[in-house]
Amino acid sequence: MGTRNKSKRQHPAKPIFILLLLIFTPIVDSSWWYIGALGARVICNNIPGLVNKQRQLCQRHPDLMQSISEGAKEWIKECQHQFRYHRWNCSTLDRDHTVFGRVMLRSSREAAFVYAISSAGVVYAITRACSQGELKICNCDGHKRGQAKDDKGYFDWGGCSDNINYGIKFAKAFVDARENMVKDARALMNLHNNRCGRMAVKRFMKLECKCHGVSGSCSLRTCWLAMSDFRRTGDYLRRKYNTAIEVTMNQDKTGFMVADKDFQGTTKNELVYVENSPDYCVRDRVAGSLGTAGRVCSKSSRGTDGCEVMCCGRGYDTMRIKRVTKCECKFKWCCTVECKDCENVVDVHTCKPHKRPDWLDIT
Amino acid sequence: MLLSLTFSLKRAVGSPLVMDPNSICRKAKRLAGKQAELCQTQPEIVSEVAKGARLGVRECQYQFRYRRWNCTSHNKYFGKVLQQDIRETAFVYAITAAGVTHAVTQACSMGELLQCGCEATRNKAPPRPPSSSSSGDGIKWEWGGCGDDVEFGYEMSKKFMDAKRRRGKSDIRTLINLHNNEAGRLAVKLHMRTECKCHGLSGSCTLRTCWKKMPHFREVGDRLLERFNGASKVMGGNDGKTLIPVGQNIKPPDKQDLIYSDESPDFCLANRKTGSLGTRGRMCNSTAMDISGCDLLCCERGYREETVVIEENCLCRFHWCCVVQCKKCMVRKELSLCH
Repeated sequence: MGTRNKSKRQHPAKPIFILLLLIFTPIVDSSWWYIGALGARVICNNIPGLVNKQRQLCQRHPDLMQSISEGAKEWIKECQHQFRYHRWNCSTLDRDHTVFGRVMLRSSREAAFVYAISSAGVVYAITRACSQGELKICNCDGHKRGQAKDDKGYFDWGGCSDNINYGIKFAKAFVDARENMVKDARALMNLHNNRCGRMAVKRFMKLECKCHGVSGSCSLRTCWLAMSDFRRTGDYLRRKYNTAIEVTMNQDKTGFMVADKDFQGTTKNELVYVENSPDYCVRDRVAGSLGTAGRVCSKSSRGTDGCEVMCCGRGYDTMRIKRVTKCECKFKWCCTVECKDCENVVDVHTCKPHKRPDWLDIT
Repeated sequence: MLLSLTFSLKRAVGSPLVMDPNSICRKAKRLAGKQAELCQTQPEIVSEVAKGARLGVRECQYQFRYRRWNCTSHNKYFGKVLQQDIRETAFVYAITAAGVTHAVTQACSMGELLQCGCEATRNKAPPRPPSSSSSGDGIKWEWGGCGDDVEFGYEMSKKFMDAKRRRGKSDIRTLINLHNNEAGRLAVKLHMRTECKCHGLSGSCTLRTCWKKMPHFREVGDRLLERFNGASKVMGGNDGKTLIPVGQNIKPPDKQDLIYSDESPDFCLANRKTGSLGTRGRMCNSTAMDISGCDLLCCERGYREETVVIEENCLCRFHWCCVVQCKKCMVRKELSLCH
């Protein structure tokens, strides 16, 4: 009875209490914690330049996208390594969603190379992620089982063979999705070059073996198929760039014809291009060329990194700069290496910019 | 000024090989004091000077044969180009000064001038061995033979070409020209080579006589072309007498570097104001990637292939004594010409 009285007395205070609670409790806004629940969807929707099929693949396999994104940095770096001594040096533009700028709009040799190496980069990244167990959807190649023979004798398949076929399959589905939507010369060229890039990675797979016979002899071997370093693919594709073939599309838009009538052979494993490259010597906004002004050139070289070729006859400026390098390095027990700082004065040659004479504009 | 001399000469006298020394002095009305004096007192030297200038221009045409501006002096636009303070002008001045030095020194060594002869070796220090063979070994070295008296050529070139210097009243253009002239002369003087002849017992090299010779003029041209590629742009300092390089951290040009102050005009298209002839019809190299390649030389206008048949001297034979007789052959050549 007492309790009932008490509750009766508290009863009128309860709605006031709730009202007070509602007024003074801070409002909880939607928080960034929601990203965990949203996941891949929001990232995939915010990458400009993905076609629908690519976006679907992105949303379905977010971990693959992560690998591709890391792989992208690698193939761009490889491209810049291969072209570091050329007038066009595969430079990327910051804050530009086309990455390479307007240069890729032209169906030139350079575009052929970039498309090939980007496909190769995707294959490489996915295959490596599969082998490292980072992806749920794929792992080592299950077809390599049992015994096999090569020119050195019999061996057992073991270890983790790289599942390159999965990499190629996904790369084909993802990278080629855009080109499959349109049927024009550029799309056909891109498809061809993409395929060339994918096959370039497969070409350099090598058999790695571990000998574990009697006292380490190679009578018993366990082998697996592994991809080579991406540098080998880069070098191969650069050789293909040098021998790229100019083609035109044939009438019914199904294939290519080689422009040079004297050409013998097939275009199957070669890179193809349709247009001539622009002049990379001078800065041209429309063509997207940055020019070679300010590029470092080598005074003594006769190749494309020599000042005569790189600077296109404009001459070079010589700058005297101090370079601090580590020298006289000594190993101290235990276990550091101590180096001194040596200052060298070196001459660095950079190409002169292209400038019009002032007096011409006045008169 | 000397250059206006040479190409006005070419117009006056047909073949560049034959020239009357008196006609230079007569034709050139605006000779300054020292040069007029030279004309009167030492006309043989003046003829060597003119030969040297021609040599310089010929070498310039060889070195620039694959560049957009190819140093053609056969027309009135040559003077227009030389009026601008550009890299090409720097090269022309340097190679002309070098040519004069070379020709005068050569004439001295060949005994064609009375005022000079072989290099005086009496007071010279003991020679340094020219090659890195083992020192000592009882090899005796001696200066002898007929060394090139490059000092005389240097002085003559300086006298004739640097006549315009006025104390304290030089403008930037004159300073630049003087620097380039000096660079040309030093390209000859500082690169002398030592030649030796062995004449010990039965031709062994226990006894050697050495003398200094000038480099081949082609070598001088190559060296100056390298300097041309690395030429520095300069501007006048505040005191009006010094030249400072344009740009940050730029290495200051030394005595052998070429300098200029204006940017070159576009030599792709013909332009009367700048003296450019354009590159239409020029021969280019279809496989090269540098400025001699058809892409750059023809300025992206494209080129055509032509087969020409030219007459050349071939099957040359020496007949005793002392004539070389050649036959004429018709040779087919594939040329790439710019549009």
